[in-house]
Amino acid sequence: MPKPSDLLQGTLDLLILQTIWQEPLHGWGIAKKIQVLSGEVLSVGQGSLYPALHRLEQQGWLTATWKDSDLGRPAKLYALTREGKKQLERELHSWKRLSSAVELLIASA
Amino acid sequence: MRRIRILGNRLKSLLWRGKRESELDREIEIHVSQLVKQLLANGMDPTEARLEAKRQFGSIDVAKEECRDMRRVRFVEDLGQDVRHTIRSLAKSPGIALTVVSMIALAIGATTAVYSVVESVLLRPLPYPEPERLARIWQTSAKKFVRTGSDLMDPKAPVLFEWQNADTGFESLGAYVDSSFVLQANAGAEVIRGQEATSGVFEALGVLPVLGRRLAPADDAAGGSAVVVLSEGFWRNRLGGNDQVLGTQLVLGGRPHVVIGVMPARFNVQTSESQSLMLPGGPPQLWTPLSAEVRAGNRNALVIGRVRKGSTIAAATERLATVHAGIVESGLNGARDTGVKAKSLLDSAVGDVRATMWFLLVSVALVLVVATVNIANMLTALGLKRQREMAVRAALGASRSRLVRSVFVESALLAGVGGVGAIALAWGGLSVLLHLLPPTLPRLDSVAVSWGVLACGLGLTIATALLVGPLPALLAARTDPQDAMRSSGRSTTSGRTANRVRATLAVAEVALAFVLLTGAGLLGGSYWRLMSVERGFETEGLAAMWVNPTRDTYRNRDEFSETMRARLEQIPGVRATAMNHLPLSGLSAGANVYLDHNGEDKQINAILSIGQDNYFEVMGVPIITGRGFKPGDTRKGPRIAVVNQTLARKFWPDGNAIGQRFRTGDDPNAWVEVVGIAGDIRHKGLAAQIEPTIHLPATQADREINEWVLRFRGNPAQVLQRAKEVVAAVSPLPVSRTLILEEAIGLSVAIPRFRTYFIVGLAGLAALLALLGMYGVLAFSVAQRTREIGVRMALGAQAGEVVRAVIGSGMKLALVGAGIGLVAAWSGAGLFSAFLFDVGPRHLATYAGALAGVMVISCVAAYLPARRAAGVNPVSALKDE
Repeated sequence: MPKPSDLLQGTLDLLILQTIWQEPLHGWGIAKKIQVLSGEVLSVGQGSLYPALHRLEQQGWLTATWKDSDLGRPAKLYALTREGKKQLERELHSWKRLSSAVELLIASA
Repeated sequence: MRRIRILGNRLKSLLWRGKRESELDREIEIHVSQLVKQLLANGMDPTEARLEAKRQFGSIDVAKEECRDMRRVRFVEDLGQDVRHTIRSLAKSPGIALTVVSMIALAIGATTAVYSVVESVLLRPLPYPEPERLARIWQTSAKKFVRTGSDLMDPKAPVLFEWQNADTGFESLGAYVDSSFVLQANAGAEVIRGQEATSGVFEALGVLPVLGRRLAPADDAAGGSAVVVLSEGFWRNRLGGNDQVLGTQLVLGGRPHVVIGVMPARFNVQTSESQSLMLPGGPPQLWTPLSAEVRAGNRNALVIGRVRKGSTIAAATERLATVHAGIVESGLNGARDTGVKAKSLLDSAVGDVRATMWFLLVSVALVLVVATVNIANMLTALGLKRQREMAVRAALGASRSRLVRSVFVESALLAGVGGVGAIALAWGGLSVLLHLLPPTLPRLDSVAVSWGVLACGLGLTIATALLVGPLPALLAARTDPQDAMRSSGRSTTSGRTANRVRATLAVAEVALAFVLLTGAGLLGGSYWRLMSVERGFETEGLAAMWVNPTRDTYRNRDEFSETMRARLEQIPGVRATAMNHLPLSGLSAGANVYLDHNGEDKQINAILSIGQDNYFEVMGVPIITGRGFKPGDTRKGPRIAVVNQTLARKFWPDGNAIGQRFRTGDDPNAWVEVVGIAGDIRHKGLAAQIEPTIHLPATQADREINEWVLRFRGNPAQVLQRAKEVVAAVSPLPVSRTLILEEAIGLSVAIPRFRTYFIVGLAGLAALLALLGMYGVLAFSVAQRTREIGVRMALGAQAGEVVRAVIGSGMKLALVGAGIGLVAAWSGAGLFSAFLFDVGPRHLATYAGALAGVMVISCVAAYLPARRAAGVNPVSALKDE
């Protein structure tokens, strides 16, 4: 199994927000989902996931509640706030600009 | 919205820190156990799975710490930690903490309370619109008046009328005199206090009436209708606040006056300084237009004015002076050889109390400084105790700024608690202070803790924290962990530096205490001298009352006063006599007298004291040579007089006063012969010079004698009550005022006495603080040198030598402090001289006394440390290390 590549600096917030925009998830679920949906390419360093979650919560993009979960016990489930959804749109927009710029550069260089 | 959520999150993090922590623990634990589950599913064995999960997760503690950082409440949390830590460590030495807090509370509380008084008396504006435009105006004379010691005199009404007619810089000018009015009421006659005033007084002060109208220019005219304006107090208390009062009549001095208005309570016009004793106490109750007597210029009137908008008092006075020069030129009676001078009305109301107020504030501020120094001293001691702890924390990675902050938190916490206590103390202390303050202070009725005062107290608290905080903090920041850890903190260099700092602080305290002790000694000595001044008559068991004459009683004055005396002396244990000048009452009208000087007139100024034939006996004034009055000295007999020693010595230095003659201005054709010399009496006041005085028998003088003096035994209140009944039976007019002489003397020295008690109390406090400070230094240095002392004793030093060494170092501190204090006190002493009576500001014995006091303090401070040093057991001291 190839080692999942490290995350690009600054994209973690985007990944987290994108992962939970449909349904609330706990930390473990977020980590798993990022890994699975990216086809095992992306992996979140566990040590940096939680500080990021706490930061996003502190900044008001996420709310967190303790609820029964698929893990068979209550877990801290993170959901997007209304402001969080707007933030996600902004992040997506800037990501698209960045990636298309990078692609353009690769294609034409 | 988002901001609110952020704020809510932070608040939750602060308030439910424990819950946040356990949630964080659980969240991470869930993640790790999921990892373990996954690994187990992959077929790993349980122990290995757990290890592998932890390895994959990385440092759990670091992750948690990062999560905590995300809460953004780190600063507050650390601060909270510092506060908790400080409280814990202060609780370990509650003595020091309590002392520091109470010292802050005391010093700031006292300063705040005193500041409130100073603010109310000196700084608060007068309760009139644009008070800065108000001035009081005097005439000045070419030379100083002997009796008042100043060149200022209140103008007479004719002069004021001239001023009013001219174009001066004042938009309104007014004059008034204090008067007593005989009010005819249903219950009988009563003497009340009031003022005769011109309409200009009302206009200048600019206060509107609560009812009706004020005196108007039409009321000023001579022969105008008799009208009266009431004070709000009189209207409410005596007339029930009835608004139908306008247009009704009040019988004053036998003449009906129409009530035209009521002035509000704040219209409290300053009363004149010299007349107040003869009047009933309290504020003026009513105002009438000037009487014919005042209009004619027979009495001096207080003059106030309002400067035109945009002009200043100085500029307006300059124009008035030009106008006045013209009046002087015209030869108006009462204007001869005079100028004009004006002061702001506030200044004139505050008067010479200003210096006393600043004195109070400065001395209390000095104590505040001593207290602050002492607090710094104690906190440094506290800091030294904790140097090792600081070193450990530094070695464990605490940043220097964090250490300094924790020490700063300590000072701020102490100052904060002290500050809260100080504000409470200021509120309580002010009401106590108001009871202690001399009742003769002006504007005392308006004293209250104001917002400004409160802010001042808080400002002081913060300043104290800033001043006191850095000292131990700086020391802590200098701590070298290695150094401090290696030794036990006793012989480190920083320890020595700290002790040197503390010794310097102790020296400063001693110096300040020396200054205050000197001040206390000077004022105390001065007050003692003032009180032990020879009064010249028996003041103990003496009461006085004023009975105004009517036309009838004056016409039959000899008979009237004989009857009155006889009736008064029927009261058991009472001797009575009437006179025109009660000594020490602050009043002393002089008169021109012409001595027969080898056939030529020699004009002198002397007090004419007129009394009944038992005057000397009842007053207890000794007759030195010759005789006193006799019942035979009647209008028909030869005119006689008794002079005081001062007059005799001054004008007949050869001792041949008896048999000399003089004439008074009252009756230029009647020669009066001196038949005796009486002892000197202080007329004007305890501190005033004795003036030449001539005593004349009432039966030969044409002046009112309306001051009755009673020598009594027993309860003065009962005696005065009986006496009032006698007066009611004999005289058409009731007693207008009574006083008990010892009380009046007490009142006359109330301000110097208060100053004295105040500074003596403060000096005591400062001495105590200095003692504590010095004790701290010596005790610490003995503790530091236990080993050294042990070695010395092991080498044969005697306990006595050790004791001498400790006491010697205490003396050294005291001497250095006293030296600095001496220089400060000596050079600042001049400021003091206005408060001193009969003692110079550089009175050597007082300085020596202060020095002795400081030495005693140093010995007391050194006593315990010295005993501890002498008790050092060499064996255990050396083993201890």
